[in-house]
Amino acid sequence: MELYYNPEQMPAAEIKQTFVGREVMLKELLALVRRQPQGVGVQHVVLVGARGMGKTTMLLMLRFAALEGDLHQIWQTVRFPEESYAITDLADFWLATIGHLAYETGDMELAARGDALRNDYKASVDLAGAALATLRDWSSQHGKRLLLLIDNLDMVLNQINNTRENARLRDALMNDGTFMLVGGAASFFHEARAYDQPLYNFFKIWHLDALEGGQIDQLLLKRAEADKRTDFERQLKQNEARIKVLHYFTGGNPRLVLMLYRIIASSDLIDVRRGLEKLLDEVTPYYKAKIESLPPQQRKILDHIARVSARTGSGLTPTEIAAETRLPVNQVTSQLKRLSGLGYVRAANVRARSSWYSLAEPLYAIWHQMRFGRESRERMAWLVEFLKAWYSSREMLDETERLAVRFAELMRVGEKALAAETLDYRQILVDAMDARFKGSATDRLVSDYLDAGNMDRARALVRSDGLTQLRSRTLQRLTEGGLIAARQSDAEVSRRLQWVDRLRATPDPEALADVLNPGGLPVHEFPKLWFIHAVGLHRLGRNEEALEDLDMYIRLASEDADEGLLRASILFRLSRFREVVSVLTRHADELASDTTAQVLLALSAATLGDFDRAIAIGEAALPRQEDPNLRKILEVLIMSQPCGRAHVVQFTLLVSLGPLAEARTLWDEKVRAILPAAQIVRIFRSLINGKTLRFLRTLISESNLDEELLPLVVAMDYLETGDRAPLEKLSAEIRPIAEEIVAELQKKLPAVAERSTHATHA
Amino acid sequence: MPCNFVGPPVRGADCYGREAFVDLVWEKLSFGHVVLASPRRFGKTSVMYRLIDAPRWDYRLVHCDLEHFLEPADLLTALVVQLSRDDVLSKIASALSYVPTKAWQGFRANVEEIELHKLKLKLKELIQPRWQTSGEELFDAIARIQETKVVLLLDEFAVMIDAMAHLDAHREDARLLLRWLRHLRQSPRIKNVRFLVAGSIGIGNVLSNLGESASMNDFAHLKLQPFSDAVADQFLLALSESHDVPLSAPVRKKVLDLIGTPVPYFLQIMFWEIERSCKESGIAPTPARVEALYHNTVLGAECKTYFDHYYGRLRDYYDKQDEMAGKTLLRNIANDGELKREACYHLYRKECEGANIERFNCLMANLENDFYVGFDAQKNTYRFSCKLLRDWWLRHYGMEG
Repeated sequence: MELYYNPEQMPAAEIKQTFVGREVMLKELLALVRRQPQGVGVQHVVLVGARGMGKTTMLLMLRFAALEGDLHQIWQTVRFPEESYAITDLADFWLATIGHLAYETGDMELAARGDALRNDYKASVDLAGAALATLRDWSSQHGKRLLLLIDNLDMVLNQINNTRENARLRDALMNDGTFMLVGGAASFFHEARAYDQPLYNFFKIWHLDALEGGQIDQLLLKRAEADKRTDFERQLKQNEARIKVLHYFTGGNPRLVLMLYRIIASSDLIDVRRGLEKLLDEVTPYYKAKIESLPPQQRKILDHIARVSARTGSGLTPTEIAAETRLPVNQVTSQLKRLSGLGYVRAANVRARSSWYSLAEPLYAIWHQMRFGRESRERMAWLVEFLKAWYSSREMLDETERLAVRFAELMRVGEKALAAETLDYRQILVDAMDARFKGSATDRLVSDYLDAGNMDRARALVRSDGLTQLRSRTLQRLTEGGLIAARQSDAEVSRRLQWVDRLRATPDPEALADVLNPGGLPVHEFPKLWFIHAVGLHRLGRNEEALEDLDMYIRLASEDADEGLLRASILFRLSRFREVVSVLTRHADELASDTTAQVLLALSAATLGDFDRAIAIGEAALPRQEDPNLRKILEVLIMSQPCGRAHVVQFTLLVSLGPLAEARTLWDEKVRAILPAAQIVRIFRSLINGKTLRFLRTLISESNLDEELLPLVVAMDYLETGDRAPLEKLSAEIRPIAEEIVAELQKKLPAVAERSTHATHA
Repeated sequence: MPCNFVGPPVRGADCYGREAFVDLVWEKLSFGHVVLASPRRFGKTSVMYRLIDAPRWDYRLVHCDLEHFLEPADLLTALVVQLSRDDVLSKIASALSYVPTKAWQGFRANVEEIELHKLKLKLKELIQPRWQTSGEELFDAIARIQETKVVLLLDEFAVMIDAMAHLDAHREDARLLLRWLRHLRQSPRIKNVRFLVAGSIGIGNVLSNLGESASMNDFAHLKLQPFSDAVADQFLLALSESHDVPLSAPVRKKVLDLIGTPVPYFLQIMFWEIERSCKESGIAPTPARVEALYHNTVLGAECKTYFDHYYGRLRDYYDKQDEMAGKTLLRNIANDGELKREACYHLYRKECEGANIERFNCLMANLENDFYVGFDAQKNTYRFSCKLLRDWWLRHYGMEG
């Protein structure tokens, strides 16, 4: 079980199992412990990182490694707890060390000696000296040096707050080899960075950086292993985009990553919201403490950055901050540098003179928004941003529909309060959804607000989102309910009719892709518009979007042959041949006579290597409808089979249609070995075009065929670079062949030809 | 082979590249007293330890860290304890009237630290009410062993005096101590004692504030300088071997070009970042990667704290007018690379009302002593003492108006 705030309470095995991203650092730390000199000159260390970055875990891991390896013969670890509130002077510090040492070693006599010192020495300085002497004696008697592991060292020194005591501490650490101190701190604290302080730059600083994406994966996998969750790796692969979201919102902070993931990974949307709110509630004391420890001017500046970045998601310059906070720019600059040093903000000014400052923890911006946002909608804006990043619009649409069904059920059984809650969540989802998909959700939400009697919310939604996505029936209900005037409804209807007229006037799909706008008509009321839009997008080469439109179409209408054929064409263009076969097979009967469908099917099957099927398709289709393309394909396929050249044909299809990666694999595994040079030349000459020139050239080169295919190679290089020199160096025998290839290919590659012609003339 | 210890003093092989300076210190100690000056983290204490670890001739060295001392009795107690631990000098301590035999035996023998602590407390109690007399007796005892030269290495002496000077209860004691020590040094009978005083804050300012500028005018001032380029290159090579981080000649050259003046501490910081980057990425450093690391990390927010005190010191140690003038001058020098002395004075006068040449000279001297700038007498210009410092200043404070 993960204990986010008390990792030291977790079992050692679990801590080790989930230790991620700091392995190199741990190794280096151990190496440093090993090479410490015997006496004077011990290197002391501070690990600097924001809360939740893993300082405590790092110290625990160091302790485990020191106890379990050979180091325990030389070093005795002394671990301080995460908070040491009782330490207010150096005497307390050394007495605490005695106490923790006695506890770790079970040395009751040492503990008793520590207690006795308090009675023997009244003056703090003398008591500190005596406690230090006691520790040195213990070290000497046991032949072990003391490895002090002190969490929140900055807090301890801040509590001591005495330069002279720090000087004594430095004296003990510097001029005596008894101790090595490894501390944790949230920032590079004053005592270590101020020139006039005894501990100035005394420690070697290691920064615990935020986890990278790959490390977040590892952390989650290891956590899942510790929780005995199987099949987690598959889930992780399916959620790559969400890992990026986690990274952004948590700033790569391990604690926050685990907290957020646990909430989201196993929950449906309603629980996600509750879980996130719970998380934000849990971090409230932490953020409050962080902010309230700052002086007023810094608080004001931080508050402003949080407020603005929650809205805009971008950083601010000192000048911008100064203008809004009415503070002088130089003061703002100076405060920002302090805030940066303390880890509240981070500066981005790589090699530039200006600096942009943003929050070091984006989650703080969310917390700030939730806590200080003026209206409910502003307060929930953080959730909208989160949902946008986390879910696809399709997923949100599915969720709104599920919630709509739930609403209807709850209303039916009279649970109005619970029903109203689902409306709140749906509102957030609608806010988060992409404009292309939110129309039906908006319409249904308005309708359900009316059913729930929540006129204010319905009115507000209509005001903010307009009438364009509302069905006719909904418009009518709004008019009858007095939420909109009749003339508004009439104006909207009139506007829609004008849209339809424009559509009729410009039937060309390319034009429709520009003219048609989901914000113009309620496409959920006219599902066919999605189909028309998809046609337009496909013709414009925007095939992924076209597929999305088709998905919406069948959501609102149902699959039909036209949709199937269009989908197959789009998939074919995307080189997704298996799906082409699957789609066309579903509509086999309806499209049996459609030659386009049969060509697509045959080519897809052949590209997948299923020549038997491809031939069967051709032979079945041609008697129904003669088609020269299909006939040609069938002939080629039939001819290739007996000679074992099926792979060659498949290769040529893959190069022509894609994907090139599969073409390369087939070349390496099957085709290269069976083709003589002359045939390679012939086939490559037929395949070369603007897209394939570089790919084929690379294949030749990686197959060490440059010498064998010299004329072709020189011709290809000339076409690519325009450099005639290699061409002119060819022998009298070979040069004409190369020139012929160049002439042939130049007809197919006009852009390349132009470049090489220019180069020639130059 | 040296290891990269950043911060603490180093001993043995880890104290690298200071042979010539150590020779100079010995030379100066052979006929006088020495003040060792340099900014913090330049290696003064390491040089002191080098003297202790490899003493020359018949000199015996006694080291004390005075940073947390507030009274002359603290100093004298520490001296007695240290003398007692020395095989040759212990007899001095044993002869002192205020050192009980038990105490002396305790310091000599291998008794428990806690017992030693009690003895030290007792000794200080005895010294406290009559520290001058006790001190006289101590130094008379040292003087009697004419054949042995004793070097007292007093680390952070200026910090101790400064701390005393800032407390009403101890201010007068600070003056007394300084004058008393001067009297000792001038005494014809105490010829076999040498003082080596080291401090990270300027002893001159401290004495001046106390009105005791003349109390240490018998010291030779030695300033710990950065490495030479050749030594710096060898240092980087040695670090690369001991830490198993391959630094080719072009990479080492790049490091030195980027840093400019080879201050050992800056070299260590740079090496540390290169080592970290190399071990985390598994990729050997190249000149291009080192340059990127320099600009993005060493000059960036992550390493800002290593150099921040250069900016903060102006606020903490200079008066308001000099602070503003200093920042203006440094910003201009950073932007322009170097600035003629006359131009500096002109800027200074614009910044400071009622400015005069003496104040300007004093400010520039302080900026030089504090390692901000260096003066080129041939060109009559000031420039930053170190390229890295200039780059850093330009990056973080180059635009301030």
